[in-house]
Amino acid sequence: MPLIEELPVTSTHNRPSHGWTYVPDTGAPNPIPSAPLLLGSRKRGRDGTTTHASTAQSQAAAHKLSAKQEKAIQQRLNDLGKENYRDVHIPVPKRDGVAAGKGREREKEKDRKPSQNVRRILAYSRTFQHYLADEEAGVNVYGSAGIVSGVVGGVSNTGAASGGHAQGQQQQKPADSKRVRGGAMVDKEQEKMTTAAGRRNGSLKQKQTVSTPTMTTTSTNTTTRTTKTRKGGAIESDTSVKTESRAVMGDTDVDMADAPDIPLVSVSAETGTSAQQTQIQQSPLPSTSTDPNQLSQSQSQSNQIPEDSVVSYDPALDRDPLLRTRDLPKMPSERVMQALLAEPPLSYTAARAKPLGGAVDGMSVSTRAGGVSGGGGSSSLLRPQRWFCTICGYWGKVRCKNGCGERVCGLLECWRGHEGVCSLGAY
Amino acid sequence: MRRGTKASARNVPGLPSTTFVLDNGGYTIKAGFAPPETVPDTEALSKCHIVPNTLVRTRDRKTYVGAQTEVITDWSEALFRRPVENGQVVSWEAQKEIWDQSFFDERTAQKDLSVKNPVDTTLIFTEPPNTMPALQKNADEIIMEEWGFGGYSRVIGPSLNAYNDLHPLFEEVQTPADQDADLPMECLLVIDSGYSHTTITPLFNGRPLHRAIRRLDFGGKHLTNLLKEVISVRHFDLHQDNKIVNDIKEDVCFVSDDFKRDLEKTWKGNQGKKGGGKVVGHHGDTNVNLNNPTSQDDFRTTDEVRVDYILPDGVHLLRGFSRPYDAISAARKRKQAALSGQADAEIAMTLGNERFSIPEILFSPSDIGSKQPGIADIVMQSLAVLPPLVQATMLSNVLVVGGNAKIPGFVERIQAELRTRVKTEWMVRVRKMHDPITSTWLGGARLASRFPGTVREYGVTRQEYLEHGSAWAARRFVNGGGGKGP
Repeated sequence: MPLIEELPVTSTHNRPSHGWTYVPDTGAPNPIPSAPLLLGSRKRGRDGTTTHASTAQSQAAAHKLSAKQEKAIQQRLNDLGKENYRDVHIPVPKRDGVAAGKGREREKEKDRKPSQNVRRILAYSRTFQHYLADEEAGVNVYGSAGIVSGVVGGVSNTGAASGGHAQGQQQQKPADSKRVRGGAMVDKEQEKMTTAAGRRNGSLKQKQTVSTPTMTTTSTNTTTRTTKTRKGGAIESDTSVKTESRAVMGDTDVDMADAPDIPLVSVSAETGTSAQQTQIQQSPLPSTSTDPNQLSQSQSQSNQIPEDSVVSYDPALDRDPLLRTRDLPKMPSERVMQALLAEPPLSYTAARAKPLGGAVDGMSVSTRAGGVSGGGGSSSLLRPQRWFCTICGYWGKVRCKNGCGERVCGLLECWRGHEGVCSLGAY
Repeated sequence: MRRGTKASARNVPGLPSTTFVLDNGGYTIKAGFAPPETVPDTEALSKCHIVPNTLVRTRDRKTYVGAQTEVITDWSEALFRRPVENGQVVSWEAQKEIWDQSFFDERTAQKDLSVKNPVDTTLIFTEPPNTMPALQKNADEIIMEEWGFGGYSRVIGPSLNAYNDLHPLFEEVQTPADQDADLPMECLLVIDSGYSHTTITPLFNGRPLHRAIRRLDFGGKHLTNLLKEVISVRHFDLHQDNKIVNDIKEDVCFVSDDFKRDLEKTWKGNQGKKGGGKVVGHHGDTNVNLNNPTSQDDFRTTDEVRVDYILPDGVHLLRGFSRPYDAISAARKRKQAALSGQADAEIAMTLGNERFSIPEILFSPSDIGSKQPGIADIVMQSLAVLPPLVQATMLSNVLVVGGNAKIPGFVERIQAELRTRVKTEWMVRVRKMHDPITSTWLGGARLASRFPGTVREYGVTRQEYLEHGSAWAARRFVNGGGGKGP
């Protein structure tokens, strides 16, 4: 989803209200392409952004903070998490009444020695950081008492998680290659068709070709265990798409050439000629028919859930444009949900929300296909950094000339206020 | 997937029938006995008590524990020690003292909270999602070996909310049918925005979907500290006055539905003459506009955001309060006070964009330099790893709990932000309970009184613990009975 927003650089306010000229904020995306050329280059040069040609580059450079600034920000964030304004240890107060006011039996109970575990735990002076380091190191706290590997250590957890992910990637790959093949076939078909038939005919042909990958995957799935979930996904799209046979041509959301026609696949499949179609498609391209059982499998067109148990649910399937559905999709099977529920907890660090835009760009295409575009995916979700006046909290329009990295809003009052405390201003 | 109907669960062997629900939060403990019968929520909530989960040392070097802190009047320079860090009990030494005083010592415990016979009591103890195993083990061992509860279940706090009566919240059409019938909620996404962090927990039939749990490392504590920082720069140095700033936050902060508009409203540069004499001097041509109707309008709307906050003086005024901004009277009073030199003149400050730019960091952490995404983006991140229909259902059942949910506009803002991220065919409903702080406890109480079978399945008895050990118990808390239990 592209981010559309009103840029804060040009104030909506109609009164210019400053006593000096702005230094344009190279950091925010500039609405006027010619604007960078008008800049006094000296000031920009001082900020380390020399090039005017590629705005994108200079923007990136302008937003790159120095290591020192990064550290300062991290320090500030840590400070925000602090409990007190100074480090202090408050000992637990001794209770005077422990011996005095107790009933007899209560006292006896108190006299009972606490177990060794309790004494050890009470005596711990370990901080949160110690525990965190332990978890990251994968210490199995239950020792040889042996717990299901996933439930305990962070490393085993993340290991399992990443393993699952890798598996997902592997699963995705054959699907992709099939898709590519399907796409290639579309092109061929179209070349053939365009001479004689009209647009409509071409699209009909297209949808036949597209049906191939779906069918093949369904059939191969029954034999290989790892791709079992894929079948569930395929069926899901098949059934839920029934309602969707209309208005597929106007779909601008998907870049893939063959994707818009997917919903028609199931329509044609329902008519019962699907087996025929697959046959037709397989003859020109025998490489797809890897499975001898394929024909019978595709004819059966089972809509019911396979009996075997699912190993794990693969989220990559949701992003596959071929399996994409546009209305409410079908409820995943009970087994899928059970598998999801049975997964072990993530480790503390793994559960921390990741920064946006961390993933590669290729992801952003595929994330659109799923119901929700993955937050971790596209960098287009990234909002531009907002800057604020360090004094009054309004937009930080003017960068400090000393290069301390802070900004003020443009009021003289705030500028003076900052100058008074600027760390670099006092040289 | 609901296990154990009411009929079959009435008489479960093993767990003691009295259940003590303990939502052990970083800031406050929400505790109380679950009602033995199914009672209306208001009645159940009357049994829930909130105990500050902290040790406080005041300026005169006296230390107060837990509920004792309510008698403190002079909060200036108070220091805190909290046993719970990042939602997890780290210091059992301090936690034990607070628990002992609040629940186990007959002299100090409230009548409602006194656990006289732990052996005959089942404890439901909450922890945040993704608690570290070492800390889980500590909790299990000390709870079972020090106090010796007859039954014990350690549950992920947000998951208890699935047992609340949420259908009236989410459905426009009220169905007066037996509401317990379809509990726990099939799909529920809980946003728990608490003291030390904000967690997103999707629940399916009351069980968490672990792969989708995400955490934002900002909570109420960070808001307070940030506000403290800002006020110290702009108004008074309050960096030693945690409690006072926390009160300010609770009194005046709100989540803006239009950040840019509100920011424009509160900018001094937009306030004409009243913004300060110096500024106007530099406007030059702007003076022309000062008296036209639009700027008057501007001025009036500005007043809606800004408030005057009167700080406590610790003698006459123990807790600060806010009142609508009044530039003229404020200025006059200030002058009067300065002239007369009265000692008891009130100390006031005007809060403008502090009110909404502080909570804003939960939605845009990058404003203070954090690289984490905001709440709405994290919800999207969390849902991205779930099947599509589950995503859609989760989005139509989003419940916000935790103290930050009380910030006005918080829930509405999450809903608005999610709406922009989700396709129009999907419904987005974000709600909160009447009291978002106790809603987790209430869910626990309802679980205990209505679904004892579930408690049994995920809980252990004292005998089982002693026989099988903490590793076995930990497995059972996560996976349930799994055929191994009785």
